[in-house]
Amino acid sequence: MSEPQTIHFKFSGNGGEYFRIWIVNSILTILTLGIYSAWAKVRTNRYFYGNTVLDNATFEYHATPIMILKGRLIAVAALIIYVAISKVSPIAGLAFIPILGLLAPWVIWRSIQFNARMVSYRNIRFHFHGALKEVYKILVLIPLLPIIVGGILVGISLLIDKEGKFTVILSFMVVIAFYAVFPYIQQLMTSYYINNRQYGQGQFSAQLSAEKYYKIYLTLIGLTVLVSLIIGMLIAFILGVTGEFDKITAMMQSSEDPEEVPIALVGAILFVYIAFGILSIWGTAYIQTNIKNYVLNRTSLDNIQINSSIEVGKLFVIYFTNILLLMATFGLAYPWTIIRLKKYKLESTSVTGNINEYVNQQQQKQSALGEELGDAFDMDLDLGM
Amino acid sequence: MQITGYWYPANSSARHDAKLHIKDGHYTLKIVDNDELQGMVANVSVSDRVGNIPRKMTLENHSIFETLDNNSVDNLLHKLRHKDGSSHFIHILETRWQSITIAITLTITIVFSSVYWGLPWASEKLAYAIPVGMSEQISAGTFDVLNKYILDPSELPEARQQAIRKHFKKTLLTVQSEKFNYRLYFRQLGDMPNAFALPSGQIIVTDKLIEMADNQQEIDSVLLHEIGHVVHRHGLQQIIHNSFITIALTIMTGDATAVEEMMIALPVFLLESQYSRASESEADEYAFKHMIKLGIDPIYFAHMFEKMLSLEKDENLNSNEQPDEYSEFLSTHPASPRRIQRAKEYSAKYFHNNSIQN
Repeated sequence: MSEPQTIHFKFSGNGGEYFRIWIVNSILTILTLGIYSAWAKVRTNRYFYGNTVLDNATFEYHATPIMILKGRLIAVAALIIYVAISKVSPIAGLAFIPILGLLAPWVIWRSIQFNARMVSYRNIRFHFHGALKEVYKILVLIPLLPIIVGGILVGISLLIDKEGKFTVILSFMVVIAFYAVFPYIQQLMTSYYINNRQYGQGQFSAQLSAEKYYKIYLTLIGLTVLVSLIIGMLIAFILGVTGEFDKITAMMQSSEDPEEVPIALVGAILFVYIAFGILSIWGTAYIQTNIKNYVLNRTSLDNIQINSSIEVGKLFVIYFTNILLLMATFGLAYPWTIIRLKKYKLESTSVTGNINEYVNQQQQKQSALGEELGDAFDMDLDLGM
Repeated sequence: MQITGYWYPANSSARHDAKLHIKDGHYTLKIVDNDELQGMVANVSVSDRVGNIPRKMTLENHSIFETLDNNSVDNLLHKLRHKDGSSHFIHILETRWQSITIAITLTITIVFSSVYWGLPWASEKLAYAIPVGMSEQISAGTFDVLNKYILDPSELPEARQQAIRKHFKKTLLTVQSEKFNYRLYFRQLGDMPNAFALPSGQIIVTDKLIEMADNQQEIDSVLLHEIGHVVHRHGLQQIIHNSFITIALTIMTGDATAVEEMMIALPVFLLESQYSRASESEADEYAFKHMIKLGIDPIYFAHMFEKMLSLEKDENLNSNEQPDEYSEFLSTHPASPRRIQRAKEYSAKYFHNNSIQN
């Protein structure tokens, strides 16, 4: 028996190589009016999985373009039917929207299953066996609860409170409640996603608490408020010290046309715009880092532990420079930016345990059960979203 | 010929070092700690090449030989004219600089022209296909929101409102033929002189604008400009144009995160402002032509516009400078001197026409 060891994921893809795949994918997709997109998706996924290395072995993506194409054709057909119906009768078209909403969890469920099954590592496939009704509970029932309960309360208060002041406050609270369930939904969905996943016969598991999700989001909100205040005070201070503040207020109050707009005002507006742009990128990096680290560090595959050590600062720098690159190249740098991002995220992830031994055990169990036959109706319904 | 790699037994993750030897279409696989395997290369199925990811060769007994030596595999397939070599042309497209150059040029050209010309064209066609009754429904919500939360009731004397409304109905509406149900509303928006039109034909004018006008002709020029927006379906076109871009970007970027959304917001903003400038010019042209029809000198548009311009503080900065390409591209309205210039040109035409008639 070998000692448990920690092995880092490696990503061997590079921007130049992926750029060439990406640009050929793009032009062929355009020239075939989207049909090639199914082939493009397979090539892209094969490239990313095939360059994901763990313990000198790569992952593999198995879906065939036809499976992807079937799913996309169904989606396009549904869209055409919807447009045709709403042309004939706009009301019937509107009725289509809740039907679509009720269908969405099924589509999500199918595509989680499909995408799990289409990936293998050292010839052993991943699986997903989550129940469909769970998705409906998480994505339909729970989000609707605050709306339904809130709606009833607002209705009652409208009957009692003629002035309407209380009703406005109540409606406001309902809106907040609607957003406030989001971290809870995210936690439920992530748990569902991980705890129903298998590698061969091996079981993934993660004990996640909603409390941690709320802590992460509330910390971000707190920090955002704090930084906004600092930015505001900084501007007020600079304008005050330089005396520009008085000029601006004088301009605001006077009814006469100003000769020229104080350059300080333009500068202040530009500064606020850029500062909040950077703040929101940082916020995204903060959420991504904390949630990904939390989830992965609590995830295990039987006795194999997964570790993630993404840093907010590093992720922020990648996001920020990626945006600058994309703007400077009108999007042509996309392949380099996505490779940089994937590489960083992946190489911050590692596993601890006896990988080689574990994989060999899985193989014996799998042989005993026999190879799982692919579903004849295997198709990807993720619609590229 | 010899290729090094790993061998996996059928449905197994047990990995063995192996070497594949090929001679005259036959292969011999020498496996460490295992028996030798032999067969015909023609019976082996080989995965397509993507970049430099490991290549998989599935042998007759469903066991797998995996190698990183992609070039040797390609040579082998080519030399033996193997069936799995046929899809190799995609990889060739992805590696030759000639095809990459063509792909880049074509993609940029097609994307640019469809966004720049195709999209406005399609939006226009679609906007005109939407029945007038439906634009009423589309605007209903917008009007309610504007009315409740953004605009304040007018403080203009009722008689003045009635007079303008009457003139609007009896005179201005007579020169346009479409079935829109035009309605004129007076409201306040802070202290801003402003006017805007909804796709349904609801036109909202602020008190400040009415106060600023020195005569009825100046008000008419603004109202005709707004009618021009309605007739040309600018509101609808903008909604359609906007949704097109959003959908296209969502599909292109896949699952866009907040960051990616932010970074696509800028090009979208640039496109939208470029688009709305074209709309403003079109509404101006509509106003000029119909002013002439009604016997109003288009110069009143320039008068009104110059007054608004001197009020718009930040625009004042630009108008002192030469209108350069850069500021033109960023702003939602055409460069102001150009709009005034157009009004003057039409005014000249108006006098020219009149002198011929007299």
